[in-house]
Amino acid sequence: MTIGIPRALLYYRYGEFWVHFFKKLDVDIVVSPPTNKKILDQGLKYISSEICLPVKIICGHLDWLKNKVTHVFLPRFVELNGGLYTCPKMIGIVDIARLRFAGQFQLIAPKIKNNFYWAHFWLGLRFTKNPLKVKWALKEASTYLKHTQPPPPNGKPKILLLSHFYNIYDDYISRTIINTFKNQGFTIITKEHLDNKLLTSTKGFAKNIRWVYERELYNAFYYLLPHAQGVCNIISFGCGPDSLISEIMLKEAQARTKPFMQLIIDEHTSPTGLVTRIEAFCEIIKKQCLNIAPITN
Amino acid sequence: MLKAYLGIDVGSISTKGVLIDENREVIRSSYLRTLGRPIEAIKKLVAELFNENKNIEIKGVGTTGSARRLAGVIVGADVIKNEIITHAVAASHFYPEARTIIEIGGQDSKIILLKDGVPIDFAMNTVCAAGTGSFLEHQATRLGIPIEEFGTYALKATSGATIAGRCTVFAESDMIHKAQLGISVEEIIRGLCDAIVRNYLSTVAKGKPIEPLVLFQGGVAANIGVKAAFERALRMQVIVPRYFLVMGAIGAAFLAQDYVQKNLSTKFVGPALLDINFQTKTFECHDCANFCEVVETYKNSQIIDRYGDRCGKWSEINP
Repeated sequence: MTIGIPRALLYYRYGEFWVHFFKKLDVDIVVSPPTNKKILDQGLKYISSEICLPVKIICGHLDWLKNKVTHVFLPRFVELNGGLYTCPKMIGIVDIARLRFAGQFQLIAPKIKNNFYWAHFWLGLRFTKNPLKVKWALKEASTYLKHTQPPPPNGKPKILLLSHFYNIYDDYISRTIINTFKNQGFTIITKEHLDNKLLTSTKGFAKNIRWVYERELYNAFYYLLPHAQGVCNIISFGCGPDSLISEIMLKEAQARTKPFMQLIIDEHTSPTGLVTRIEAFCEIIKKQCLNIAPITN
Repeated sequence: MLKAYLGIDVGSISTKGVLIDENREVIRSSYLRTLGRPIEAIKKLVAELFNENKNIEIKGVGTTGSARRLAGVIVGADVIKNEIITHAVAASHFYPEARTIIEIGGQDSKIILLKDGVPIDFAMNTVCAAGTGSFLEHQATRLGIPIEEFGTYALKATSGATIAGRCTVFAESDMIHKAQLGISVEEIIRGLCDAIVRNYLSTVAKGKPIEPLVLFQGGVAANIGVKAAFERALRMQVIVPRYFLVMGAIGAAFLAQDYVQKNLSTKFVGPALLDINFQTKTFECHDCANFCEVVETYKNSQIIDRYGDRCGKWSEINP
């Protein structure tokens, strides 16, 4: 038995935890490689073009895994932190995989509904009869769950890059965007720079947001805004929750006269449009906020 | 010898060029179709400018537009700048009090907000090119009306037919159905102008504050029907600057002047440009699964630029 883990969606949040958890239980695992064009192209064959880019990408990773593993680990994240939900596509991806990859591999899809620890505990018992070993594996692996990053260096102007972890940490999606900002002389800060307490805070408008990752984005926006010279919000085309939260953040940024830009991403292969927008955005920030001469050429 | 600065704006549909003098006066401007061959368009443009102005010395060159990089490599530009900034630079020179720039070109449309002559915010159309110049042109061709006269037709109508503006495909079928109901061409064209404005305000401007003075630039600003539709919708005067077609190129020339005054020399290739054989080649790199399309530019069969790779290994070994 070999378990495949697609390097997509939730992998960018829980991947290291899962890898170490399975390794401690002596389970053979295969993680799909970082997203590339071939993986995306394969993914497009499995799913309607109206679905958001990250879901197209995970289908490509499932396709990559299909002849290499007997099982695929694809937990169904429904509810987290008590009454907070993930997006419908995240909940439904298990069903998409079950229908589109029928007969290719078996799915291991524990349901996560406010039971992150116990769901993994019962999962562990499928591979060993020793509950103490599972407990130990969970404890060892959970050190990889922490994701707060140290504060970025001072000095350079900062862009708050707001997007889901599966967009920012998928190099295939974010490389052009991050590189263009860096070439313009900016440092990137993300929600991972905010400590967990503030990230999950329910103060103010955040308490109205019932999507777990959108609440994090909003809190990151709210608490990191004073530290950044501008905000760039990357939205996958067709993302329902993001389109709502983004408008609210846009209005608040306008009220606080902070430059805010929405970048919508889909299957485009030419980076020209993205680069034009980012360059213009950077120059606007340089002109109005920093009072430093824009870099010509 | 008259000292001049050259600005070149290579867009999706048209290629624009201007010459300005030391006092930022436009000496000459030209406009021609890119026709999908930017290199030839750039050469033709430079040839035109040189043939008619023998007595000038080009002190600096700036390029802009979606093919700014290619244009910059070919002519030896001192400044390569995106079209949002160049439009803003030119607009605030001619109209220092301008607050809003509406720019509708061949394939994209943008809104730029200015404060004290400095751009403070902008937006561009995202995933759809409905309501831009190429669509208007397509409709004009379909109705057998020269694009230059399209706007005057709209002004002849006292009311407009309701046309769906969200999507070019829907707009076209709406226009056909309205015509088949017997509604006049003038009313349909006016309706189309209104639809373009509605589409612009809801998908590009998206509630951004549009404050006077409002400038209307880009190819579509030639259409007096769309200008009138903007004035109706915004309930304020909309000004089409004298050089509305070439504002991006003018901005690029201004930036080139600023740059050269600081750096004192230009990289401009000069009239020799016309005798150089430029070529672009593309190949798909198969070194990893990304299959990047790498674009190479050759100058007399010698490689001068390479880009398009995600990992940077081709552009890093740029000669």
